[in-house]
Amino acid sequence: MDKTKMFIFAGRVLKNLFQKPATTQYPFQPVDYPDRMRGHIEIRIEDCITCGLCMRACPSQAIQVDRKAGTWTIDRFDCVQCSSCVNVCPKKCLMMKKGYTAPEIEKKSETFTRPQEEKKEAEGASGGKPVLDAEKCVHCTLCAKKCPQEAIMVDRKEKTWELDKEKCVECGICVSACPKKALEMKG
Amino acid sequence: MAKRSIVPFGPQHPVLPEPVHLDLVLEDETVVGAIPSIGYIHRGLEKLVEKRDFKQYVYIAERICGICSCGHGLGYCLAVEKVMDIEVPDRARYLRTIWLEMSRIHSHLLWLGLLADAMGFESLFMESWRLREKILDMFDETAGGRIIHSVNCVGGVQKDMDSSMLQDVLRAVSDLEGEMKPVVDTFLQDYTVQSRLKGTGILTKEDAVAMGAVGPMMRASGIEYDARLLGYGAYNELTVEPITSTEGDCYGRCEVRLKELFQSFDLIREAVGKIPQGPVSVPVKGNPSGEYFVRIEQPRGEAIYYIKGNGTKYLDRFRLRTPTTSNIPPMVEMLKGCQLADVPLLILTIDPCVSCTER
Amino acid sequence: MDYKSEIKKVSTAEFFPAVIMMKGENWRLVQICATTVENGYEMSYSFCKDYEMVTLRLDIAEDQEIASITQVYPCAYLQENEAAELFGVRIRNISPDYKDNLYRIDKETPFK
Repeated sequence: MDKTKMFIFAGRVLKNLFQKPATTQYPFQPVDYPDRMRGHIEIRIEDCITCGLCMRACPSQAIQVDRKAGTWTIDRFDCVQCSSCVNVCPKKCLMMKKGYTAPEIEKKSETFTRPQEEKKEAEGASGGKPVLDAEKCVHCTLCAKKCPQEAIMVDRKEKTWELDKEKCVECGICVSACPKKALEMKG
Repeated sequence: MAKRSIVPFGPQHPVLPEPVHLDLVLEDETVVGAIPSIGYIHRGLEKLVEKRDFKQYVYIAERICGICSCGHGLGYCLAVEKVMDIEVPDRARYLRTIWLEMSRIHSHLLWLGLLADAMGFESLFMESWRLREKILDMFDETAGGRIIHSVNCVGGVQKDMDSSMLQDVLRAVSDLEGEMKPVVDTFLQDYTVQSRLKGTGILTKEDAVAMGAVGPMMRASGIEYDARLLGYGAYNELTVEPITSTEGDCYGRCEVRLKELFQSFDLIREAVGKIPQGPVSVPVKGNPSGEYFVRIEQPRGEAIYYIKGNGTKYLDRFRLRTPTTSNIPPMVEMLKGCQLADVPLLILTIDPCVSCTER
Repeated sequence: MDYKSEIKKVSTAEFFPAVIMMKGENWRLVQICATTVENGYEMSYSFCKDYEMVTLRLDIAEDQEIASITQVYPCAYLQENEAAELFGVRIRNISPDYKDNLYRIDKETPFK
């Protein structure tokens, strides 16, 4: 290892002189991003239930959710592309897509509004907290396991079902998870 | 006695990627003392742990620094998992190890490039960073980000690598290994490089222990210590040998890091060969309560993560002792007696990471 | 695989002799951490020898002064200054003492 030589790198340097550049000529030549690339967040707003889990999971507080107005707002400049919101979304309506957000000269946020025609009666739709029909319940604890907020407590031995109304975000996941159809969303 | 003068060095200097300031006390051209000061980019990230819940903080821990991000995320997760008694699935342990070794390769290649740049060897700098690009592309493909990977989570990893991805990683590693040869030869045998590195900035074994050097810096002074042997991740099932050098000068530190690159190639191959099938994460219920110290080997040296939980989802304290915090005192020791012209090179050989140090 | 990593509680009087003993036994200082607790601080001094780690835990009151260990472990100054500046722990005779100039931040003791 201790030998001392000269011009070891000269060969490589000469090669580089006559080679194509190692870099991509970016604006003229489009870049091919891999599928997993975390570039920017997209939302399928029609599936969003404005539960606000993404807002609470965001470490840089880039997302604002207004439940009353039914809007979902993201500040693209605050977003750090960590995909924390994508991981917690109970409806999987948030997606991480490839491609960076375009630069802007002004800091602004982007707002999406939920479409108004709400199907309140539909299964799993939001609107109100889950209410249990105690006769149908078999205390299987599926609802408690699926609850993203851990708002439901089920005791199999005592045969009790309890809802923490503070924690509940009315996502309706428990309703769709219930095998006995014992849960119903009521306003 | 020659007249003493004080020369400020940094916080903005061509060789420094990050702001660190030194007041150099000179006698003619010789440095007789140095007072380091940091504090230009303090962000208070340790305090932020009280405002973000412990699962969210992984994303913040990763963003403490760009180059060490994989390790910071892992170290934090390991500490939380230890406190909460979570057993991570085997496949997740291997995946973490593969990503961690890849990040070691990219960090060392970055450092080699910066070293070449500090010596004014521009083409070698470009070549090192061209090779580093291969690993960054692999990160982009497997984790979704070139620098901030966001793969670790409490209880395992967020993403799995399928077999085609693992093959891609292997291919990138062998490509890299083939192309590394002229670079390694240049760093270790070239006349000009040797004349800059050999004999400068000697840190003796005794000083390394007394001043608390860690990582490649400590190993270059002849101390056999590699925190990977503690066996976190999948390292307890892989072959890790601490790589040491006896000289303790800049050349020794360069040699250690170059050899660690090849060790990482081998570790990745071994890990890909041994990786078991199975789930990559386990669900986490409850909140951490208790305290724990975790040591892991970052590319720059041993880092220590301490968490203290109080049973709620907000932790009481998160402490990160980064390798650079430990390496600054020995660097100051090393600077004494060197020439002013060698100062940039010496500072660089500790591989300073000021963002980590200040958090 | 499981290497020792224990936390030993020490009193203020035992602390300095314990540090000197560590130095005598060739432990290297790896970490100093301050944590705010009710009415005071918890100081953790971690030492490593080979792959083992011992942490000395010192509980102090908010206005209690403690001695710097830079006389024994000169490399402790960065982390002691950090504890003094961010948490407001009163540490006597750190050499060199940065006197609140290590971190260039506006707020005094922001982590207190």
